[in-house]
Amino acid sequence: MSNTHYESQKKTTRQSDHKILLVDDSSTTLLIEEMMLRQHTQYELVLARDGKEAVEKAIAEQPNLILMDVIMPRMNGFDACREMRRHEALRKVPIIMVTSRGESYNIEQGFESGCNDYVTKPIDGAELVEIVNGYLMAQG
Amino acid sequence: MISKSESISISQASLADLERNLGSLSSQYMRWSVELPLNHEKQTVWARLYSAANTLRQAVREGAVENAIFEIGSNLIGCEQIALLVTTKKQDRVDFIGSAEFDPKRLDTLQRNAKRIIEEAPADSIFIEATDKDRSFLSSLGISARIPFSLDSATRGAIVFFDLLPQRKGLDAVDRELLQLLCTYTGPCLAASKTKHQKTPGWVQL
Repeated sequence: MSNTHYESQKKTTRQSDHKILLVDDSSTTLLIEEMMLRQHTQYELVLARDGKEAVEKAIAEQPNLILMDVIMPRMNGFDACREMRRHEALRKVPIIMVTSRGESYNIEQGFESGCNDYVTKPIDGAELVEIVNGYLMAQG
Repeated sequence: MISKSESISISQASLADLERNLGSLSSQYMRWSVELPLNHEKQTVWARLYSAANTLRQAVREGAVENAIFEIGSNLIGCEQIALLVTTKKQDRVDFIGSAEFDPKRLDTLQRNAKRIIEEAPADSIFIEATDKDRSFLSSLGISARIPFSLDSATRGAIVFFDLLPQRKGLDAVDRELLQLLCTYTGPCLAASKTKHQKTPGWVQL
Protein backbone atom coordinates (compact mmCIF):
# COMPACT_ATOMS: atom_id res chain seq x y z
CA MET A 1 0.00 0.00 0.00
CA SER A 2 1.44 3.38 -0.97
CA ASN A 3 1.89 6.17 1.51
CA THR A 4 -0.48 8.34 -0.50
CA HIS A 5 -3.21 5.72 -0.27
CA TYR A 6 -2.57 5.33 3.46
CA GLU A 7 -2.77 9.09 3.96
CA SER A 8 -5.98 9.21 1.95
CA GLN A 9 -7.53 6.42 4.06
CA LYS A 10 -6.44 8.11 7.26
CA LYS A 11 -8.07 11.37 6.11
CA THR A 12 -11.29 9.57 5.14
CA THR A 13 -11.51 7.84 8.51
CA ARG A 14 -11.11 11.18 10.26
CA GLN A 15 -13.70 12.88 8.05
CA SER A 16 -16.30 10.20 8.66
CA ASP A 17 -15.96 10.84 12.40
CA HIS A 18 -17.07 14.44 11.94
CA LYS A 19 -20.62 15.70 11.72
CA ILE A 20 -21.75 18.92 10.04
CA LEU A 21 -25.09 20.65 10.58
CA LEU A 22 -26.29 22.46 7.44
CA VAL A 23 -28.98 25.09 8.06
CA ASP A 24 -30.83 26.93 5.29
CA ASP A 25 -34.45 27.49 4.25
CA SER A 26 -33.35 27.66 0.62
CA SER A 27 -33.36 24.32 -1.13
CA THR A 28 -31.01 25.62 -3.86
CA THR A 29 -28.32 26.45 -1.29
CA LEU A 30 -28.81 23.24 0.67
CA LEU A 31 -28.56 21.23 -2.57
CA ILE A 32 -25.16 22.73 -3.41
CA GLU A 33 -23.81 22.37 0.13
CA GLU A 34 -25.05 18.80 0.44
CA MET A 35 -23.84 17.72 -2.99
CA MET A 36 -20.37 19.24 -2.61
CA LEU A 37 -19.82 17.87 0.91
CA ARG A 38 -21.27 14.41 0.17
CA GLN A 39 -19.38 14.00 -3.09
CA HIS A 40 -16.05 15.55 -2.11
CA THR A 41 -15.78 14.60 1.58
CA GLN A 42 -16.87 11.84 3.96
CA TYR A 43 -18.45 13.99 6.67
CA GLU A 44 -21.78 13.01 8.15
CA LEU A 45 -24.41 15.64 7.34
CA VAL A 46 -27.47 16.72 9.31
CA LEU A 47 -29.94 19.24 7.83
CA ALA A 48 -32.22 21.89 9.36
CA ARG A 49 -34.53 24.37 7.59
CA ASP A 50 -34.74 27.24 10.11
CA GLY A 51 -32.98 28.65 13.15
CA LYS A 52 -35.21 27.02 15.72
CA GLU A 53 -34.78 23.58 14.20
CA ALA A 54 -31.04 24.27 13.96
CA VAL A 55 -30.76 24.94 17.70
CA GLU A 56 -32.73 21.76 18.50
CA LYS A 57 -30.63 19.65 16.13
CA ALA A 58 -27.36 21.18 17.33
CA ILE A 59 -28.20 20.25 20.92
CA ALA A 60 -29.34 16.74 19.96
CA GLU A 61 -26.67 15.92 17.38
CA GLN A 62 -23.61 17.75 18.77
CA PRO A 63 -22.11 18.54 15.35
CA ASN A 64 -18.42 19.37 14.89
CA LEU A 65 -19.25 22.33 12.64
CA ILE A 66 -22.35 24.34 11.74
CA LEU A 67 -22.97 26.04 8.41
CA MET A 68 -25.89 28.43 8.83
CA ASP A 69 -27.93 30.83 6.70
CA VAL A 70 -28.85 34.25 8.16
CA ILE A 71 -32.34 35.07 6.90
CA MET A 72 -34.66 32.19 7.83
CA PRO A 73 -38.21 31.75 9.15
CA ARG A 74 -39.00 31.22 12.86
CA MET A 75 -35.49 32.20 14.03
CA ASN A 76 -32.77 33.95 12.04
CA GLY A 77 -29.17 32.78 11.91
CA PHE A 78 -27.83 35.47 14.28
CA ASP A 79 -30.35 34.60 17.00
CA ALA A 80 -29.78 30.88 16.48
CA CYS A 81 -26.04 31.44 16.82
CA ARG A 82 -26.50 33.36 20.12
CA GLU A 83 -28.82 30.63 21.39
CA MET A 84 -26.31 27.90 20.51
CA ARG A 85 -23.48 29.73 22.31
CA ARG A 86 -25.52 29.60 25.55
CA HIS A 87 -25.09 25.82 25.59
CA GLU A 88 -21.79 24.67 27.05
CA ALA A 89 -21.39 21.83 24.54
CA LEU A 90 -21.83 24.17 21.58
CA ARG A 91 -19.66 27.04 22.79
CA LYS A 92 -16.59 26.00 20.82
CA VAL A 93 -18.24 24.47 17.77
CA PRO A 94 -17.22 26.49 14.67
CA ILE A 95 -20.22 28.26 13.17
CA ILE A 96 -19.88 29.54 9.61
CA MET A 97 -22.55 31.98 8.51
CA VAL A 98 -23.84 31.79 4.95
CA THR A 99 -25.00 35.30 4.13
CA SER A 100 -26.65 36.94 1.13
CA ARG A 101 -25.40 40.36 2.22
CA GLY A 102 -21.63 40.75 2.22
CA GLU A 103 -21.53 44.31 3.63
CA SER A 104 -19.28 44.88 6.63
CA TYR A 105 -22.08 45.79 9.09
CA ASN A 106 -23.77 42.50 8.31
CA ILE A 107 -20.56 40.54 8.80
CA GLU A 108 -19.88 42.37 12.09
CA GLN A 109 -23.35 41.44 13.30
CA GLY A 110 -22.51 37.81 12.54
CA PHE A 111 -19.28 37.90 14.55
CA GLU A 112 -21.04 39.67 17.42
CA SER A 113 -23.61 36.87 17.53
CA GLY A 114 -20.77 34.36 17.98
CA CYS A 115 -20.03 32.98 14.54
CA ASN A 116 -16.42 32.16 13.59
CA ASP A 117 -16.45 32.80 9.87
CA TYR A 118 -18.71 33.57 6.95
CA VAL A 119 -19.23 32.78 3.26
CA THR A 120 -21.40 34.79 0.90
CA LYS A 121 -24.05 33.64 -1.53
CA PRO A 122 -24.00 32.53 -4.29
CA ILE A 123 -22.09 29.63 -2.72
CA ASP A 124 -18.81 28.64 -4.31
CA GLY A 125 -18.87 24.89 -3.68
CA ALA A 126 -15.11 24.34 -3.85
CA GLU A 127 -14.40 27.27 -1.52
CA LEU A 128 -16.97 25.91 0.92
CA VAL A 129 -15.32 22.47 1.04
CA GLU A 130 -11.92 24.08 1.63
CA ILE A 131 -13.18 26.23 4.51
CA VAL A 132 -15.00 23.29 6.13
CA ASN A 133 -11.93 21.05 5.74
CA GLY A 134 -9.76 23.77 7.23
CA TYR A 135 -11.85 24.02 10.41
CA LEU A 136 -12.36 20.29 10.85
CA MET A 137 -8.76 19.29 10.15
CA ALA A 138 -7.70 21.79 12.81
CA GLN A 139 -9.90 19.84 15.23
CA GLY A 140 -8.04 16.63 14.28
CA MET B 1 -60.72 34.03 -18.96
CA ILE B 2 -58.99 32.63 -21.98
CA SER B 3 -60.54 29.87 -24.04
CA LYS B 4 -59.37 26.29 -23.80
CA SER B 5 -57.88 26.43 -27.28
CA GLU B 6 -55.60 29.24 -26.12
CA SER B 7 -54.36 27.57 -23.01
CA ILE B 8 -51.08 25.74 -23.09
CA SER B 9 -50.25 22.51 -21.42
CA ILE B 10 -48.12 19.52 -22.28
CA SER B 11 -49.04 15.86 -22.50
CA GLN B 12 -48.41 13.43 -19.64
CA ALA B 13 -45.72 11.81 -21.80
CA SER B 14 -43.96 15.15 -22.29
CA LEU B 15 -44.27 15.84 -18.59
CA ALA B 16 -42.55 12.53 -17.82
CA ASP B 17 -39.88 13.34 -20.42
CA LEU B 18 -39.24 16.73 -18.87
CA GLU B 19 -38.90 15.32 -15.35
CA ARG B 20 -36.58 12.59 -16.66
CA ASN B 21 -34.58 15.16 -18.62
CA LEU B 22 -34.07 17.44 -15.61
CA GLY B 23 -33.19 14.41 -13.47
CA SER B 24 -30.57 13.25 -16.00
CA LEU B 25 -29.17 16.75 -16.26
CA SER B 26 -28.71 17.13 -12.52
CA SER B 27 -27.10 13.66 -12.28
CA GLN B 28 -24.77 14.57 -15.14
CA TYR B 29 -23.71 17.84 -13.48
CA MET B 30 -23.07 16.00 -10.23
CA ARG B 31 -20.98 13.36 -12.03
CA TRP B 32 -18.91 16.04 -13.75
CA SER B 33 -18.37 17.78 -10.41
CA VAL B 34 -17.16 14.55 -8.79
CA GLU B 35 -14.83 13.74 -11.69
CA LEU B 36 -13.06 17.10 -11.52
CA PRO B 37 -10.47 18.16 -8.96
CA LEU B 38 -11.93 20.44 -6.32
CA ASN B 39 -10.01 23.47 -7.51
CA HIS B 40 -11.08 23.15 -11.16
CA GLU B 41 -12.67 26.31 -12.52
CA LYS B 42 -15.74 24.38 -13.73
CA GLN B 43 -16.65 23.16 -10.22
CA THR B 44 -18.78 26.23 -9.53
CA VAL B 45 -20.60 25.85 -12.83
CA TRP B 46 -21.48 22.20 -12.33
CA ALA B 47 -22.50 22.65 -8.69
CA ARG B 48 -24.84 25.55 -9.44
CA LEU B 49 -26.31 23.92 -12.54
CA TYR B 50 -26.87 20.72 -10.52
CA SER B 51 -28.76 22.71 -7.91
CA ALA B 52 -30.79 24.65 -10.49
CA ALA B 53 -31.85 21.58 -12.49
CA ASN B 54 -32.78 19.73 -9.32
CA THR B 55 -34.74 22.71 -8.00
CA LEU B 56 -36.71 23.03 -11.24
CA ARG B 57 -37.53 19.31 -11.28
CA GLN B 58 -38.78 19.49 -7.71
CA ALA B 59 -40.77 22.65 -8.50
CA VAL B 60 -42.65 20.93 -11.34
CA ARG B 61 -43.62 18.17 -8.91
CA GLU B 62 -44.78 20.67 -6.30
CA GLY B 63 -46.40 23.19 -8.67
CA ALA B 64 -44.16 26.03 -7.54
CA VAL B 65 -42.07 26.85 -10.61
CA GLU B 66 -42.13 30.62 -10.06
CA ASN B 67 -40.72 30.21 -6.55
CA ALA B 68 -37.96 27.99 -7.91
CA ILE B 69 -37.05 30.66 -10.47
CA PHE B 70 -36.87 33.29 -7.72
CA GLU B 71 -34.70 30.97 -5.59
CA ILE B 72 -32.32 30.35 -8.48
CA GLY B 73 -32.16 34.08 -9.26
CA SER B 74 -31.59 35.01 -5.66
CA ASN B 75 -29.36 32.23 -4.29
CA LEU B 76 -27.50 30.97 -7.36
CA ILE B 77 -27.20 34.14 -9.44
CA GLY B 78 -27.25 36.64 -6.59
CA CYS B 79 -29.94 39.15 -7.59
CA GLU B 80 -32.13 40.85 -5.03
CA GLN B 81 -35.26 41.25 -7.17
CA ILE B 82 -36.62 39.06 -9.92
CA ALA B 83 -39.82 39.28 -11.94
CA LEU B 84 -41.53 36.82 -14.22
CA LEU B 85 -43.56 38.14 -17.17
CA VAL B 86 -45.86 35.84 -19.12
CA THR B 87 -47.93 36.78 -22.17
CA THR B 88 -51.14 35.14 -23.30
CA LYS B 89 -50.91 33.17 -26.52
CA LYS B 90 -52.53 36.05 -28.42
CA GLN B 91 -49.93 38.35 -26.87
CA ASP B 92 -52.77 40.68 -25.81
CA ARG B 93 -51.99 40.71 -22.11
CA VAL B 94 -48.95 40.26 -19.89
CA ASP B 95 -49.20 38.72 -16.42
CA PHE B 96 -46.59 39.42 -13.78
CA ILE B 97 -45.24 38.12 -10.57
CA GLY B 98 -42.38 39.60 -8.58
CA SER B 99 -40.14 37.99 -6.00
CA ALA B 100 -40.58 38.81 -2.30
CA GLU B 101 -40.57 42.53 -1.48
CA PHE B 102 -40.49 43.49 -5.15
CA ASP B 103 -40.38 47.27 -5.49
CA PRO B 104 -43.93 48.45 -6.46
CA LYS B 105 -42.54 51.38 -8.49
CA ARG B 106 -40.41 48.98 -10.44
CA LEU B 107 -43.40 46.69 -10.99
CA ASP B 108 -45.26 49.66 -12.42
CA THR B 109 -42.37 50.36 -14.81
CA LEU B 110 -42.37 46.72 -15.86
CA GLN B 111 -46.10 46.79 -16.51
CA ARG B 112 -45.76 49.83 -18.75
CA ASN B 113 -42.89 48.30 -20.71
CA ALA B 114 -43.75 44.61 -20.53
CA LYS B 115 -44.37 43.93 -24.20
CA ARG B 116 -41.19 45.64 -25.27
CA ILE B 117 -39.14 43.82 -22.62
CA ILE B 118 -40.38 40.52 -24.01
CA GLU B 119 -40.13 41.52 -27.66
CA GLU B 120 -36.82 43.38 -27.41
CA ALA B 121 -34.73 40.45 -28.56
CA PRO B 122 -34.90 37.15 -30.41
CA ALA B 123 -36.35 34.15 -28.58
CA ASP B 124 -33.07 32.71 -27.35
CA SER B 125 -31.28 35.96 -26.65
CA ILE B 126 -29.94 36.50 -23.14
CA PHE B 127 -29.32 40.08 -22.10
CA ILE B 128 -26.67 40.78 -19.49
CA GLU B 129 -26.09 44.39 -18.52
CA ALA B 130 -22.45 45.44 -18.91
CA THR B 131 -21.72 42.90 -21.63
CA ASP B 132 -24.66 43.73 -23.92
CA LYS B 133 -24.52 47.51 -23.75
CA ASP B 134 -26.27 47.92 -27.10
CA ARG B 135 -29.62 47.12 -25.50
CA SER B 136 -29.93 50.57 -23.98
CA PHE B 137 -33.68 50.19 -23.46
CA LEU B 138 -33.23 47.28 -21.02
CA SER B 139 -30.33 49.04 -19.30
CA SER B 140 -32.42 52.18 -18.90
CA LEU B 141 -34.93 50.19 -16.83
CA GLY B 142 -32.17 49.13 -14.46
CA ILE B 143 -32.32 45.51 -15.58
CA SER B 144 -29.20 43.47 -14.74
CA ALA B 145 -30.22 40.52 -16.91
CA ARG B 146 -33.20 39.46 -18.98
CA ILE B 147 -33.97 36.14 -20.56
CA PRO B 148 -36.88 35.26 -22.79
CA PHE B 149 -38.62 31.88 -22.62
CA SER B 150 -40.78 30.00 -25.09
CA LEU B 151 -43.70 27.63 -25.25
CA ASP B 152 -44.44 25.71 -28.44
CA SER B 153 -41.70 27.62 -30.28
CA ALA B 154 -43.27 31.01 -29.54
CA THR B 155 -41.79 33.54 -27.13
CA ARG B 156 -44.22 33.69 -24.23
CA GLY B 157 -42.46 35.64 -21.58
CA ALA B 158 -39.33 36.83 -19.89
CA ILE B 159 -37.53 36.74 -16.58
CA VAL B 160 -35.92 39.98 -15.49
CA PHE B 161 -33.26 40.28 -12.81
CA PHE B 162 -32.44 43.43 -10.85
CA ASP B 163 -29.91 44.56 -8.24
CA LEU B 164 -26.91 42.29 -7.92
CA LEU B 165 -25.97 41.53 -4.32
CA PRO B 166 -23.29 43.95 -3.06
CA GLN B 167 -20.52 41.31 -3.07
CA ARG B 168 -21.11 40.61 -6.79
CA LYS B 169 -19.14 42.75 -9.22
CA GLY B 170 -21.08 41.58 -12.27
CA LEU B 171 -22.62 38.56 -13.93
CA ASP B 172 -20.12 36.07 -15.31
CA ALA B 173 -19.88 32.91 -17.43
CA VAL B 174 -21.37 30.78 -14.63
CA ASP B 175 -24.40 33.06 -14.50
CA ARG B 176 -24.75 32.88 -18.26
CA GLU B 177 -24.96 29.07 -18.04
CA LEU B 178 -27.66 29.36 -15.37
CA LEU B 179 -29.58 31.92 -17.42
CA GLN B 180 -29.36 29.61 -20.42
CA LEU B 181 -30.80 26.75 -18.36
CA LEU B 182 -33.70 28.98 -17.26
CA CYS B 183 -34.19 30.19 -20.84
CA THR B 184 -34.55 26.59 -22.02
CA TYR B 185 -36.63 25.16 -19.18
CA THR B 186 -38.87 27.92 -17.78
CA GLY B 187 -41.58 27.59 -20.46
CA PRO B 188 -41.75 23.77 -20.38
CA CYS B 189 -41.64 23.75 -16.56
CA LEU B 190 -44.50 26.25 -16.24
CA ALA B 191 -46.58 24.23 -18.74
CA ALA B 192 -45.64 20.93 -17.10
CA SER B 193 -46.56 22.23 -13.69
CA LYS B 194 -49.95 23.20 -15.08
CA THR B 195 -50.46 19.75 -16.59
CA LYS B 196 -49.45 18.01 -13.39
CA HIS B 197 -51.50 20.12 -11.03
CA GLN B 198 -54.40 20.83 -13.41
CA LYS B 199 -54.23 24.54 -12.70
CA THR B 200 -52.11 27.59 -13.39
CA PRO B 201 -50.92 29.75 -10.53
CA GLY B 202 -53.43 32.48 -9.61
CA TRP B 203 -51.36 35.26 -11.14
CA VAL B 204 -51.12 33.91 -14.67
CA GLN B 205 -53.15 32.50 -17.57
CA LEU B 206 -50.76 30.56 -19.72
